[in-house]
Amino acid sequence: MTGNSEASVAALVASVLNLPVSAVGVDASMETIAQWDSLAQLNICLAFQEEFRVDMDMETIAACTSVAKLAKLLPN
Amino acid sequence: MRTLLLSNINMQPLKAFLKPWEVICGEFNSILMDLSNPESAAASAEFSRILCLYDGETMMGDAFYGEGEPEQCESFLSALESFCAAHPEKAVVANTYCFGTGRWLSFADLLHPQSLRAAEARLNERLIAIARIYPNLLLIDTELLFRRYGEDTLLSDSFWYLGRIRYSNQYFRSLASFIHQACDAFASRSRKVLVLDLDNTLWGGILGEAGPLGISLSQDGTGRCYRDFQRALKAVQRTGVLLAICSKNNARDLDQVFERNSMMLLRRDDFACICANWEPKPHNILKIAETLNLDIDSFVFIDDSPVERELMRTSLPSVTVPEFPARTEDLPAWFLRTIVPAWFGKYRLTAEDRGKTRQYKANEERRQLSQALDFDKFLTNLQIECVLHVDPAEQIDRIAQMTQKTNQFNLTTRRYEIPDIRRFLDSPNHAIVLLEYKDRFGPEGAVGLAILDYAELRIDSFLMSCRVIGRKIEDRILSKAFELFQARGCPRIVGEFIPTLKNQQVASFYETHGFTLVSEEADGRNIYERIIT
Repeated sequence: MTGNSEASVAALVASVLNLPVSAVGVDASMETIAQWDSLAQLNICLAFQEEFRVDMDMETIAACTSVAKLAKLLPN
Repeated sequence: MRTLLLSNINMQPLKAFLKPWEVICGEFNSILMDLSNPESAAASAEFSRILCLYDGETMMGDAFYGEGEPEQCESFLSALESFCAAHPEKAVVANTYCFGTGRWLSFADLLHPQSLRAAEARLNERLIAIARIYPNLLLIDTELLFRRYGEDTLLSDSFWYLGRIRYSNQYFRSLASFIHQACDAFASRSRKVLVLDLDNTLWGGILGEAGPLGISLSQDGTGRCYRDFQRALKAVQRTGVLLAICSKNNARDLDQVFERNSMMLLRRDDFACICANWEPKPHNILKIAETLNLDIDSFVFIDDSPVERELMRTSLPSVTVPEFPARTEDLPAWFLRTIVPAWFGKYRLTAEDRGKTRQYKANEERRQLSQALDFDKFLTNLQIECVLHVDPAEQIDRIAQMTQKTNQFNLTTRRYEIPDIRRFLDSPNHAIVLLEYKDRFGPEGAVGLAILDYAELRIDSFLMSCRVIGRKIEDRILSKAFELFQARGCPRIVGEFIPTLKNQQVASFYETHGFTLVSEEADGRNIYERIIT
């Protein structure tokens, strides 16, 4: 289940960053992807919130800077 | 056409939703600077569309909390006005002021001198006054989005305090679609004909079974859904949309509905064309297109039957076929909220829009007359009267609309928006000739147009509304063009024909009017020349 949600989060990140799906693995994060800067982080979270209907507070948006951390916000 | 997005907050997420537009964001909070500085990116020739999408609350500053005057709003309005005046060639898009529901005055806000509601109304009045003067300003009423989806859904405080992003993605998505639709309306790119089915579309039930008084159409209950739908259709028809019927029914049964059912709001006269028979519907749509002399790509077809919709989509893919609401009660709101802005959006109405159905019906009467008489007699009988205007600035909306909408009798099919037309009107090197037409069946309004380029001795655009094709009035515009070129001492003039899929009927226009073909360009243009001295 977790594997599944990580894959869909990775796909969403790729689409926001305009990258091919293959370029964003389930282990991707702000540190490993050059285009994932602080502005991109906001865009990713805006899309994440809309797509998965998850309400994110300020701290969560600032902290969840990897596919794994974002996927953990999804219900199992 | 490149677009510059200016704001006083972070609107960068909107960019992705505005695709396929090429959008560049201005510097953060540079909206005032950009509008007032003549050296700014906004003023440069690089951008032909400027989006001013500001946050009204931020712009109010302390005045939002009742302290001081909203000075930034004043500066913005003056800057916007001067910018529109200085750049008539650019399309400027601005949102209206729309404050959230948080009010420091709570219930006193309505009556208090520092009322936010009153301040918002005053600012919007100013904006509207500017838009009335400058035809290049497109105002978009973003309050409608908040009324529809609500601020709980559209605003986002976490993104606001983290990155000066005021809104959720749902807002950016719906705002982008709203802007696209408004710009289509602004450029008069709407569809022309709305073709309607009858049974379970204009009324409930099957006419052939229930009879003219048994169909569901009433003041209350389900019948009211259909009646309200008809009310909305009747109103939209007054904005220039032509209504037509394409239905599998006996024509005589439909006559009975028009004659006997007093709940039927739409009358026979509201329809530009009626096809009630048992032919396949795509066949009837082609017949309607022929009668109205309009291309089917300006048609939208509404039918409750998924089978008919599918048949239409596969047989005539250029007809727009929207889905139909599953619930009858959704019909009126679905039509006004979804279908009208998507396909029949308007920004400024012209006098021609209001009388459109009557004009098309008069055309049908003319056609019947033409079948009864020989052609010259027919023309004499029409008692045609034409008035030619040169550079009629007051008709700028209509002129732009004609270049956008005319396909068949259009020699170059160059599409212009209001700012382009403004440029031609202001330039000493251009002239615009507009022909207004009337005959014994009534006025048709402005139906013929030529745009002349004196610098290049060239007829840039030459077009006639398809309503008046075949009455030899194009000769009058051409004579006027010759006269204007001659007055400027031009010895010869150049005419161009740019072939499209739709303008084959005018392929030999210049040759039959004394021009000689001088070249066929690689880009498809045929260049003609005529000596006029």
